[in-house]
Amino acid sequence: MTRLFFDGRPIETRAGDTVASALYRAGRRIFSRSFKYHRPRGLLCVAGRCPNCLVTVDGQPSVRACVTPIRDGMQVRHQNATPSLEFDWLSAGKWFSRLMPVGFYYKTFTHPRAWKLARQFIRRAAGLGEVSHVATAVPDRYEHMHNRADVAVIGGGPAGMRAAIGAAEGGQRVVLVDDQPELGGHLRYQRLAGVEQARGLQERVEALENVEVLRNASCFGLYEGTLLGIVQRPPVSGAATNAAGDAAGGSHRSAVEERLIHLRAERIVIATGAYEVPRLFTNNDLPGVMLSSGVERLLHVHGVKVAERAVVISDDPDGGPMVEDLRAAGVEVVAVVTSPGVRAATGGSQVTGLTTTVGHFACDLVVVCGDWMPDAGLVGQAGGRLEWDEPRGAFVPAALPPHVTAVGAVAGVPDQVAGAARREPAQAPGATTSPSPQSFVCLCEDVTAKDVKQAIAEGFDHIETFKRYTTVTMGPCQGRMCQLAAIGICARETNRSMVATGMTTARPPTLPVSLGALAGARHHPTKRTPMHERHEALGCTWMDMGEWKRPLHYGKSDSADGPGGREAKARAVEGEYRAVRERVGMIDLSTLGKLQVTGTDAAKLLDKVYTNRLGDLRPGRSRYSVICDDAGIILDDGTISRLADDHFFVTTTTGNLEFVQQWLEWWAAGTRWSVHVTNVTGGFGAVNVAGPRARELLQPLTDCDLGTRAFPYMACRRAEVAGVPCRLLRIGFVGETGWEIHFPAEYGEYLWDLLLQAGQDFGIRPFGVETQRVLRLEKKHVIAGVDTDATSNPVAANLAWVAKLDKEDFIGKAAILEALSRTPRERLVSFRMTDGQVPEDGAAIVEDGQPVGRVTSARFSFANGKAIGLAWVPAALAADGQEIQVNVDGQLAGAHLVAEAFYDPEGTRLRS
Amino acid sequence: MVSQTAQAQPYRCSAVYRRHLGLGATMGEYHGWRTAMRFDSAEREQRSVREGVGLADVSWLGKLDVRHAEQEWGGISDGISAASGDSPVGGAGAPTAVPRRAWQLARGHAMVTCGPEEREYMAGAAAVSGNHVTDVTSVYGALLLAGPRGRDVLHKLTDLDVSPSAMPNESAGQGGLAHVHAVVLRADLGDVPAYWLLVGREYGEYVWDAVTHAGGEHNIVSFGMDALDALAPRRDAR
Repeated sequence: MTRLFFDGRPIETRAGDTVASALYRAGRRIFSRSFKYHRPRGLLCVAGRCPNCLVTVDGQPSVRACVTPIRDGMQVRHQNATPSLEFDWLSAGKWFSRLMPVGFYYKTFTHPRAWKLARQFIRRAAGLGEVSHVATAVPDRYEHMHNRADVAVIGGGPAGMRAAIGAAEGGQRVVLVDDQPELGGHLRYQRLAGVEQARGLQERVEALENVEVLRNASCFGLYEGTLLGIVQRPPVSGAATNAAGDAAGGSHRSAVEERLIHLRAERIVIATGAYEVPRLFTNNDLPGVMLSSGVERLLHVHGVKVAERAVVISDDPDGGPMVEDLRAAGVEVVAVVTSPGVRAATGGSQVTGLTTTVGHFACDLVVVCGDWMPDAGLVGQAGGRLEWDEPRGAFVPAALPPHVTAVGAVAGVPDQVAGAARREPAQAPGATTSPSPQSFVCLCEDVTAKDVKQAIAEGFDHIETFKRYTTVTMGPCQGRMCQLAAIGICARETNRSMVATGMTTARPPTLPVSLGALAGARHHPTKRTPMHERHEALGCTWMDMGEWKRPLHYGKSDSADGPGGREAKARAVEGEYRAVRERVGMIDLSTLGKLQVTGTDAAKLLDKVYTNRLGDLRPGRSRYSVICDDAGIILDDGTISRLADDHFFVTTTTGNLEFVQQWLEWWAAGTRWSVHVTNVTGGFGAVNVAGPRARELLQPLTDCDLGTRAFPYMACRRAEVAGVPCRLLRIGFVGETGWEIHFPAEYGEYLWDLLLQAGQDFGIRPFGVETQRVLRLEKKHVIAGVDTDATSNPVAANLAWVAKLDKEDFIGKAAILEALSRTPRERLVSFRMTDGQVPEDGAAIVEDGQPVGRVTSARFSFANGKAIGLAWVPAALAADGQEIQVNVDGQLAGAHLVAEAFYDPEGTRLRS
Repeated sequence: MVSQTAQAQPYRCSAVYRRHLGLGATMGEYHGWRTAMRFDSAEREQRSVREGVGLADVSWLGKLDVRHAEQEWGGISDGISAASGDSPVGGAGAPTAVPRRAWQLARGHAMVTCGPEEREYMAGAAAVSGNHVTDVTSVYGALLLAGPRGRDVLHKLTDLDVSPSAMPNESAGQGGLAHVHAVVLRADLGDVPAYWLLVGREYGEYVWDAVTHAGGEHNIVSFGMDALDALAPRRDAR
């Protein structure tokens, strides 16, 4: 026997039960408390279309109990009620309803302090369950799937099944989507004739190999014209999910609880049918007031005896088949009344009677044979609209795009089934007679007919502004239960027709979708360098740089924010720093963007895009340059190395690779130049071996002459290092003699291990990004995107030297010329702190008590014994020796601007 | 003078080398790469692939990126076709698993796949009319998803239409796979459907994990080169 637990108490279930049917059979009548007034609410539609049965299931809030199949051991809890559904002290809020009229939150709490006071209470009192603050312990709970079809049919009722059969027999690949465990739509919960008809159609569908059936699958949106969003719960996987496929072993159960399916279809058939909407009378929201379709589902699908004594509200004086069904189930039908005669339902926590113009009837169930509304959310999202058809007295779809069709009840064509309940077309409750002020129009947001009228009286009489002011149609039901009534009242109160009143815009999702389903499986792309495992083995502390993982430093300081972590980090960085400055260090640079630019016109393209002159760059040489946009703003920087006349090797910053590639391709497009840009970032691992003993370390490993004369600063060579074909660039970002070594990534581990081993005799240490930042700051080397921003040009950033204005043209030249003709507003300067403080990156530069600039990077310099940094300051302050004030932890601290590099200003070590 | 340390023998590892060591794989050298030869028994792996789905690391696969004028596609395709027959290393003993052909990915953009030893030879064949040919063997990691349930696994990872009608044997596509760009080549191993997934090497380990995770429902197995050779025997001597 499968059991679920509701608020900790075990509930016996039966095969085919949903959470709601099991709870109802066990005697539960209150399923939730309303959003605002905490009124008790019970089952209403039993079809997942109203907000009345939202519960928390296994920690997931706002799950619709009536469409959620049971699972053994399922933990179901009530939500939005304290302490219990039966006694909720927040229901006392009804006594203050006069203080909470429609739109009260737009008028009250307008003062920030008032809102601050009220916010906590409001957030506690109103809501739709709580998201767990604890990460789910079930990593495989959600997943995404992608599927394609020639024809997607949304809705497995008779019209949908017929459409699927027709398309499949025409040779089309069909996916049929239905939100129920079995096909049949409304036929499933009607009397025998309907069930038999459904079974016949289902057998025909299942016999077709080119029809894939997705059961328990709800389509919640139509995107991009042909992309359908579908949530399947619990999913049944595999391409063949029809009965034949299941029998053939085509399905596999998994731990997945919700699957989001991206279905692309050439043609879409909307067969979503129609749904029943409530009628308006006082206390129409009491538990025990239920739509006739909901009653039918409980009776025929779940075999639940719904009540002992029922009153049926129907415009059919005999009550139609509903009365027969109730009697057949052993329910006493006390009375059948027509809707104009209904005054009020009575009762406290559940209905005890119905007061009408002809008297009061005691009962424990009021069955509302409501109006029927096309389930047309997808129609609107497809670009079509629902139009009020006066002669038919119904909304019908219009203006659908050619690849979308609507069939069946959603198109205003009710299915004729012998013995089936009569479907009344929508008559818009409230359109003809004034509804009771205390009747609830919107069950999701607790909006009454009185509220609706008041909003209109306040001037919100356009359907869209009215919606935003009252929040009608904005709750979990997305307007299914309330839109028709709201339009009806709006039309009546404004003396407009239903057509003129119109409908609100339909947007996805049309059904509640869990955030977990949208997020899918935990696939977060991560980029790893070829030496990732070696860094891990060396005990590095990782940092995220976009999708890349980079060693911040070696040695663990996971609690870097704590004092212990900070000290460990400082010790590690100093050790790495001293290795580079005094001996030799090695850093993994594989994350640098790397582009290969080839072709006879490669130099022409690079000269066009980069500010430095590259056309005259000799093979075997490298140059630094920046890229600017038309406005002269620095977009990126990097080095360009010429390996051959028609072959350049370009590096970019780690984060800007894709942009630089697109930028180069953009400017090459349409030129007819012979040039191609290839991203080879992942193909090359890279390290920088730097320090006074770097040459001693590397020379024995290669036949390439690394001497100063043979391999000067800013030279590049292709050479083997320890048998690996490499590209060697003599570049000095950290300010020491050093080589960037780029090599095929598959040799990464081998070369890293070998260099560390060979470097033991020279005191080598690997160093991380944090140490690199200290080293480069001492050399005043700028990092584009860190020390520059979306307003920085080379003139203000002291990089004007890299813009060769005597070049014929390059992107941004005119803007840089213009910038040179005037004094910049700000300048990028370097500073040294007077005392021992280290400012945070982003700290304010303060003058006369006002922030006038900002620190972009600051670190403690071991060479200077004080903190140094780069900062943007007003041009008037940008003079060598100028004293500035920096905000450090809320206190002002002094600093002086320094024009030259903090370390080796002549560049002697770099070039040696 | 090159030192003794430099005399060490360079070795090549794919992006999932360490992951495979962690899985207890028996490693060996395959086409010059340290590669998983087997995780379990080759026979069991082969059976699992034939009946369900398996995943292997084939990063050693030679890959050439070819940018060409649209009208030159036929020349490249024919050139590679002819070269694959004449390749000095493509004859007897070569694994038939290696798809040795040109794949058109987009207008003016093709990919050539081949054995790693014949990259230079194939590059020459592809370089008709001054096309730009770049060896991207190191740039792309390559995973082989093989078996009748392979398509179901791909359904969880990519929006590409991998149905038999849209992607029959010897066809290619490119698009997102587990949120990263991938080139998907369909080159079956005899009667076993097989998808060769080329992804940026830096994503290799992530994509391996994502495919393995997605395949869990279908009991996906890791398989090594011994099973691959059994699935696609080497060419007979001519």
